[in-house]
Amino acid sequence: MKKWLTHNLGLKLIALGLAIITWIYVTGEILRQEKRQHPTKQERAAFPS
Amino acid sequence: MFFFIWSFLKPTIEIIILWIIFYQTLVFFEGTRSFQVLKGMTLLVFAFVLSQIMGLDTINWLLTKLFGISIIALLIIFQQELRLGLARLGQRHLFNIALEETEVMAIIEEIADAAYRFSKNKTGCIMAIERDSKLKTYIESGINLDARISSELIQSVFNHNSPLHDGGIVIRRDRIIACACLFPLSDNPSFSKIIGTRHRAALGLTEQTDAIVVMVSEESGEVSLASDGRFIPVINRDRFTNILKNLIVGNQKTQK
Repeated sequence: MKKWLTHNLGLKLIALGLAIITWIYVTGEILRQEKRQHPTKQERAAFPS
Repeated sequence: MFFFIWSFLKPTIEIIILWIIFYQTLVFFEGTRSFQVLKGMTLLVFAFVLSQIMGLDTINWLLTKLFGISIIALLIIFQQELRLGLARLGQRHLFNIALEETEVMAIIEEIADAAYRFSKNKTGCIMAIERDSKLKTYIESGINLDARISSELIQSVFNHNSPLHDGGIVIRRDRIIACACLFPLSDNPSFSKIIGTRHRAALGLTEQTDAIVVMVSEESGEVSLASDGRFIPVINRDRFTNILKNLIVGNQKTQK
């Protein structure tokens, strides 16, 4: 287990950092898109059709 | 309760999957020339994150526009590596009949016998052992042989007086498919400029395919192995045989 953790540790940490950044960015984009498609009641009330 | 646990588990699983993909990509590119480009791109990603956190709108805008066109740039920069990666991913033979370990050992013994005889006589040679990636392009650049492998045949091919001694041989399973084949030269800047053409050809071929290359230096008589764009140190014949066995048998096992 220790050998697996220490082998290529630098690359593993960089890959983990990239994975977390990608997940946060993509999740944020998905939530933003959903908000645009399904605005809240308050947002709909502000722009009556 | 389950929904609560799942709401924590789902992002963890997604991050782990992304982690594995990014790590395998970095390992795949490690040691290649494109790795330097990949490092640069990773730095840009971290710079983008910092600009978001610190609210540097101008930098953020520039990087956002840059990432917009980066997909096309990535396809152009990494086209060779993408081709090789997709080829490796796609080459899963349905009816691949793997060689028995005893057959593999017999082939390795023939190669080792020839290589170490060349080493004693300081006869240069380069032998490419085909694995998943087909070496059709390089076979076509040479002369068709298609003969069962043997140490004597290899020695005949690389005899100085033989018209077939220039170039390398391609070995597929238990046969020498072609000789006098031309292999691509590596232009990897991380290797010393004083390495010879034969060694550059070995590196070049292993960068572009998953072939294993055996070389004997004409100057020093040193026996070397190359795989995945890197030289593998070989101290003696036993180590040479073991490394070759692990590379060939190990590769066959991963296909199953």
